[in-house]
Amino acid sequence: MAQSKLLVDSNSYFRLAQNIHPLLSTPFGKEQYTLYPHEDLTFELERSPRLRTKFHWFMEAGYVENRKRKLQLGKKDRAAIQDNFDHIWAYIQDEQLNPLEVDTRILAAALQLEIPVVTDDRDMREVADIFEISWISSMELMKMMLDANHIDIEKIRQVAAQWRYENEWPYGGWEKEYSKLFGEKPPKE
Amino acid sequence: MSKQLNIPLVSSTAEAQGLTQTAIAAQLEVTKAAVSKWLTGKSHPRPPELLKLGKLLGLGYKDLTIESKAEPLIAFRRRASCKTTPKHINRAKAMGRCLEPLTSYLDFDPFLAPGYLKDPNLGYEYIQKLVTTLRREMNLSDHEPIGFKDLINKFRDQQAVLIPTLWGKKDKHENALHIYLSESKTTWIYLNLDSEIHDFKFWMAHELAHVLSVNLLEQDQLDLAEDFADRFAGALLFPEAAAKTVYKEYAKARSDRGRTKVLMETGSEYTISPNSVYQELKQYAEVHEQPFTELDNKVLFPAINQFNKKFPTLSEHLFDGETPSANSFMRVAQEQFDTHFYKALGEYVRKTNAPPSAISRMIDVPLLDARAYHEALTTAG
Repeated sequence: MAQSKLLVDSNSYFRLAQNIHPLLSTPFGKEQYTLYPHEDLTFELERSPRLRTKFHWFMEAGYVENRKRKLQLGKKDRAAIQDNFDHIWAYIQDEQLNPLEVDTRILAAALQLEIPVVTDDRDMREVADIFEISWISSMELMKMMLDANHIDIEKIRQVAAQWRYENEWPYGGWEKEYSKLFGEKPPKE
Repeated sequence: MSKQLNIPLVSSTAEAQGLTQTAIAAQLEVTKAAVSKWLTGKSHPRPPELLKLGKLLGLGYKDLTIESKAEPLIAFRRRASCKTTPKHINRAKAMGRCLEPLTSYLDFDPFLAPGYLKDPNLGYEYIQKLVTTLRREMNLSDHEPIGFKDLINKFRDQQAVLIPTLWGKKDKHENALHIYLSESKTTWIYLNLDSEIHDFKFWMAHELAHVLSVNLLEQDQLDLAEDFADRFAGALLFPEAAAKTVYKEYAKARSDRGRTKVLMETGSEYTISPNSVYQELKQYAEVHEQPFTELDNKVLFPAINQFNKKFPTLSEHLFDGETPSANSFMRVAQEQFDTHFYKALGEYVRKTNAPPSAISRMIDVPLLDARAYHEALTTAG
């Protein structure tokens, strides 16, 4: 069966990849959901010494290896993605919206490839909604993984505990969504 | 900002491609009535429809819509090995647009605008006279090295906003960026503190030249603006009188080794790159029709690299080689560069509840870094 691809943004990657490993290129569920990173993921980290310190695991061999497989894009797709990007980015600036250039590139790719983006960023979601690009949150992704027996509830608790420990909330009110999705309160730490 | 469809261009492009309203409607999966309303100005296509329309007609967003605001003016320092691409320019313009809301938080004189040069040009004599005048205003003789504070004070006088940043070591031209917003008549200068300390001073002097010659940017004379800024920077940091003295030593040296030694020692004394010294000596000799022994690049550049290795970058110097917390970075930036940028940014963020992504776009840092700034700024108030 063909894969159902999902594109993961850098923040969701950082929130999930350390604990759910290998996060990328590993199909799960009946639909063969498979996560891919965007090309700019490594670039983001390389330009920030602070991020390199915070996410020290990022350069460990297993994670580097897991990020190697990228979405295969033909010339036509690349050109169309660039057109989408130019248009959406100009719109964002005009309307003084907040998504970043790197996020806009992800949205542009998702629009062309007609695949959902995994993101917790409300600004990115706002633009995704405007351009009718589908998205899911990190927690919704974990729920899909749980339902497909790809991960268990222990793993989800471990992820949430780390978010709490690192003050790395996906967004305000995430605990409510957690309880709704998983039928229990998130762990303390 | 309310935008309008560029109806004349859309209509003529569609006509040239033989696309009727019915054909457009079919391609975009909307009704013909909807297309008719767009093309008569009765309604505006929704964003996804506008995007599809642009793709169909081969028109970008800027073509499809009518622009009303003045664009930010950008100056990038040119480097022989590095082209400034439209991507660089667009990115800088986007940063410029984000800065506009901050202008009301700046504490500059609300009545007086700073002056600029009447007729900036590349004449050696003109530039030397100009830098002599500026040095007098800074209470410096022709032989005294210019300090960072002298330059910083001049930026303040000119009501230019300095934005110190930590962008990592860059080989290209991304160590400084100059943005002029013509509507608010404000100048914003990004300075990457992860630069070599000697190059950094040159970048600052270069940017000061752009501030003084902003009319060149307004007149779209970008090449002249860049050439002027380079020559001004060299002359301000190492003027003719100093070049005259050092030229004698350089001319006396009997070997390449002796000549590079003169360049290194002078670079150290003035805290400028030996290459700046070399260029100024060469120019001095040319103008005064004196002989000059050129150095081969294979001699000069390795010597400069060795020279640079002896010194920390500016950020290493300011933060003892550590990565500073957002709080400590902004405090040091404010103290050392006498800039009120981060103070203004803090007031803006607190008053408007601007999210971290707004900070990320303004100072071009990754979102997770911007969060640290955001937290520091929102708790500071």
